[in-house]
Amino acid sequence: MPNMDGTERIFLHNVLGELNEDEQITALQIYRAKRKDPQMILLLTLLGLIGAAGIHRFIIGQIGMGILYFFTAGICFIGTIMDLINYRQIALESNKQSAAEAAATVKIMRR
Amino acid sequence: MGMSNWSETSLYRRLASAAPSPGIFRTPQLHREALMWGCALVWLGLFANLEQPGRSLCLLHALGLDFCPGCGLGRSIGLALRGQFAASWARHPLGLFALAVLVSRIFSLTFPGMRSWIQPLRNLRLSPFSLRLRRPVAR
Repeated sequence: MPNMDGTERIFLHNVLGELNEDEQITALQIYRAKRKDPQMILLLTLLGLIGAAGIHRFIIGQIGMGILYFFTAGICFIGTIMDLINYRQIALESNKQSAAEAAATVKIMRR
Repeated sequence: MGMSNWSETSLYRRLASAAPSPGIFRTPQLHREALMWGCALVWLGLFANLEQPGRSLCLLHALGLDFCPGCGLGRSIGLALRGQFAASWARHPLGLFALAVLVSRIFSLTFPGMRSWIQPLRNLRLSPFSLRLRRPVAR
């Protein structure tokens, strides 16, 4: 997967470790569809500096934060700059949830 | 897909001995972002002087523009934290909303295992809350 770092590998391993090999492949396919690229988050955050703040928050499913950022110009650009610093953590957090969901989906399909 | 997935799967196998235990979704976490929001809320609620206009942090003001959609939000949140809701609404209508969103954000960052505060109500299967309840797939 593009731009995959060590932290992501480790939590993927943690989440998918208890599945067998076929289930891991299915879970990885589901995860790949839901995964957010950190670079995309960074670019969408940069969009906030030219007026459209909060798109990255909508994209990772935080609708409340998205509305807040959109209507306050990224909380006077302070929030946007914070997210420029934090963009990797933001993507990682969303990806952790996606991985957990993918593993849960595969476990449900097992039954 | 095929080949790359196989190689990645074997990598998980190789990492198996080195990886920490999978409790990461249950233990409380300390995120940088939650720390920032938390410090901001504590400062606004306890220490910030909301009466006098201080130096603005706003970039649009620094550039010389007068209009900014976000200005007043800090004071608004501070007033809401001190219980002055009418003054908070007058300063910036989104103050209370911002407060609620930020508090829920801090909670979801700190306790990632708890998907939302509605979850216990969803488990009770009360009508409006159980709408997005995930049901097992029948096979």
